Amino acid sequence: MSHKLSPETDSGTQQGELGLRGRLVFTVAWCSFLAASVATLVFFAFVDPAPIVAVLRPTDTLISRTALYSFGFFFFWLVSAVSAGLTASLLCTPPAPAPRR
Amino acid sequence: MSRAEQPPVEESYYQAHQKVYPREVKGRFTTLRITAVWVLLGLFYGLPWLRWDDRQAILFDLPARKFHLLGLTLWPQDFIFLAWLLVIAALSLFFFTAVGGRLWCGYACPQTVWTEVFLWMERVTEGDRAKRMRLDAAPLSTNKFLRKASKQFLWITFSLWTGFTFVGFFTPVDVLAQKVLTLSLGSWETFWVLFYGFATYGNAGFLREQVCKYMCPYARFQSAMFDRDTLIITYEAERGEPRGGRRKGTDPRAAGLGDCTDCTMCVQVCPTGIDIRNGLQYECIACAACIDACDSVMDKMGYPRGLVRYDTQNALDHKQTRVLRPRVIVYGFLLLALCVGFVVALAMRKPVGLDVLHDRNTLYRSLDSGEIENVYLLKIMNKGAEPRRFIVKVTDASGAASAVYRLDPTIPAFTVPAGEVFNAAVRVRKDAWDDTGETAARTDGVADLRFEVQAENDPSLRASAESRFFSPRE
Repeated sequence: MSHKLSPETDSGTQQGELGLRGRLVFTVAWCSFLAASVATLVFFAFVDPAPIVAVLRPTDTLISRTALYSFGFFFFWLVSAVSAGLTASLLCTPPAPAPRR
Repeated sequence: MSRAEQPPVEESYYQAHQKVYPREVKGRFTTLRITAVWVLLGLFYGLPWLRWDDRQAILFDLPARKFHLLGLTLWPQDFIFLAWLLVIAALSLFFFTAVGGRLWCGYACPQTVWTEVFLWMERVTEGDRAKRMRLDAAPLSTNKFLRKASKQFLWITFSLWTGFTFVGFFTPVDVLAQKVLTLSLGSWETFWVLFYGFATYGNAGFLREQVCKYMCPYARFQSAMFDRDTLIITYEAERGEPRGGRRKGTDPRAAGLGDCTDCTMCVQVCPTGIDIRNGLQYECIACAACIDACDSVMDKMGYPRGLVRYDTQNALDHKQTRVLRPRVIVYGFLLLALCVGFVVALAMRKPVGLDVLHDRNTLYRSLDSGEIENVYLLKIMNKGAEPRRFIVKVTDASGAASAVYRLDPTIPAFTVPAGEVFNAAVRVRKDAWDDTGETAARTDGVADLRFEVQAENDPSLRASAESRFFSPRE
């Protein structure tokens, strides 16, 4: 039994509904969002970014913690989205056709 | 032709998605769900406005790194409590899933709750199910445009309000409201209002049941908590089949029919667009809309209710349903233990905290008096609800009083307001020639020492932290 999975063969039938590619994008975005939320929570509970940035970049104007947390969150989101997206895209590659007997 | 010679079956993991137009339904469980919507959304939109002693009752003050929960102030050092709370939440989910099935999905999940509100707005502007389907199929007209535009207006306004409320949990909501009214919202605040608003709009207006079907991790692993004694939404096929239409008053048995009239109401009301008569499906979010729909039909036909109902697999198979079973007992016991532990730990939480940072710029200073001086920054946290005055002491690493190290001034004391961190600079001195003293054991000019803070009026309130004293090398 071979599985054919390619975004082209299955686009949403109705306007406003998701095709396979759309589902993959949203699923990857959502799951990596959850992972990034946890990572942000744990990381910034233990690390206060404000003094670190103040030491590393003393001449810059002060960056608010809100901004630093936000950057951190988007960094975590990006990293986990890249990982999840690559995993999803590799899993979606159709296998080679079955050898003929 | 043998199996192996058959042409490979092309199979897609994903079915083309049909837009679902859920029909409005009335009944016991719908009332329960709408009550849950009111309570949960009431909490979400109302809580930021609740006051507690001159401040917001629930405020996750990220810029100041502290969380206010009613009378309690949590610091990053109290992270364990937050983690603990999340574990309790997860275990509650397991427990209630094992006992009652997907209660979370049907009544409490934000996805369900917000979708319910968005669907209501859609009904108000575009009409009931049949009207919505006709409207979508119709060519663009003034009527269609106005209805669609007013729906979008309601959705977007509600989403923005949701985003605003969300940010109101992290920034004082009254200040935030003033900023919105004077159009002086900061860039990150604006961003997060829009971001959360957009997420609400996308999830509840656009994606809806697709979130549950394709995106939700819980929907995929909840079956691991199920067994044959878990409450599920069931269709009693034995009683319903063979299904078929009939006139009212017809004796179904004489006509060779079961109780299911095949009216498809259970399918029309389903927000995920499944047919519960096909048995338990992973798409079912257990919202019980089909129960209400079927009950109303059974009432009209004069049949007993419960053709579609909450029941267990064992009951359907005419077996005994056991509520107390190992799975439930284990989940329940763990949950209880964690809850009790949480309350106890919270009650025993130390209301004072101390962090010590050695001065970054200068390791030590040699004074004219022949003394070596180190400067420290003490961060004294008063986690309590009232201001306190704390006395600072310095000891050697073991906590024993030290004759070598002296504080300057001799007994520094600082008043720390309730729920605040006080940054206090403290100087410690020792005689330069006393390098063979009891604590200056290391030859590299570094010695450990310990700071202790103690509440002036309550010696039991104390905290300590370690640091190092640097001297010139020999």
